[in-house]
Amino acid sequence: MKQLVKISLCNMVFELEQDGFAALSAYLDQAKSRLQGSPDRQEVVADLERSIAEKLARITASQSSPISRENVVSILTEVGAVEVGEIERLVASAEPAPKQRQLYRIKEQQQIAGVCAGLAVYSDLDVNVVRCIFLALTGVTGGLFALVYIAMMFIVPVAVPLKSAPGQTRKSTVVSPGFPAMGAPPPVNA
Amino acid sequence: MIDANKYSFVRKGLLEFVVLQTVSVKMVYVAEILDHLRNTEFATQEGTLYPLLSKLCREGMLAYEWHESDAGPPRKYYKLTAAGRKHLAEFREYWIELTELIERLGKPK
Repeated sequence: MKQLVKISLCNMVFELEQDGFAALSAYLDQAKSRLQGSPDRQEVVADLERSIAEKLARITASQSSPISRENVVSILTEVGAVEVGEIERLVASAEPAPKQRQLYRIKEQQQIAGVCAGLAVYSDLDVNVVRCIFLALTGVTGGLFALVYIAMMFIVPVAVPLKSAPGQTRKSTVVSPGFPAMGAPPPVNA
Repeated sequence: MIDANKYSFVRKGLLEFVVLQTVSVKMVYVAEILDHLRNTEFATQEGTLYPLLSKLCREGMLAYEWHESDAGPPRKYYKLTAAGRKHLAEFREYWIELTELIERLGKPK
């Protein structure tokens, strides 16, 4: 006769064989560790426990013997290991990113004050294209458009360079966290 | 014969919309979603579904109500919110656009 363990799951009491209990504990531990950092962790674990309790209750109702390891394994196989999408995992571990893309000046690429470099990243255009447009507009407006540049120098904030981790020398500019990397300027001293 | 395993990455990305679509028909609890998808390309398990449902609730796409069950603990019945409905409609439109685009790209100019 195997040793029995009494457990309480979702306010219901079940009697499990020792090795069945071990399997269940291992499953729940793995679920918790896979959901580490997820804002939904508690909720998902509670959902799983409720579902497992419901299945255990069904077995208890249909057999007089205590719940065996095989019973537990068949339940856990049905429930399946916790799968969190790669992206979800990344998002969960990252700081909440601002939703709006924002215009910054990029000091690292500046000719004057980094306005064009910032606009280039913001609009997904090459920085030289933006500069040409600026120059053209300045020419067409007889120099008046240069005032726009000067105004933007004061209005648009400077991008905060990404803090490099210890041992990392790569220097790049955060334009906006969560902003597609395609638009970001190439690392300066990669 | 199509080797569906090769395209699991596609199904993974689509599961969210398949679930929204399933919930859009009527209020359902998890076992009903699983049953609904069982013999399809999108057959899945609770270990995958619960994290997804919680995420969709957190994002305001789904909401749930507790219903008593005679077989054990109470069950969460999920329903689509207005935002979820909009999201789903938008995705369906996008999906049609994408398939049309793929067709178009496959044709010689």
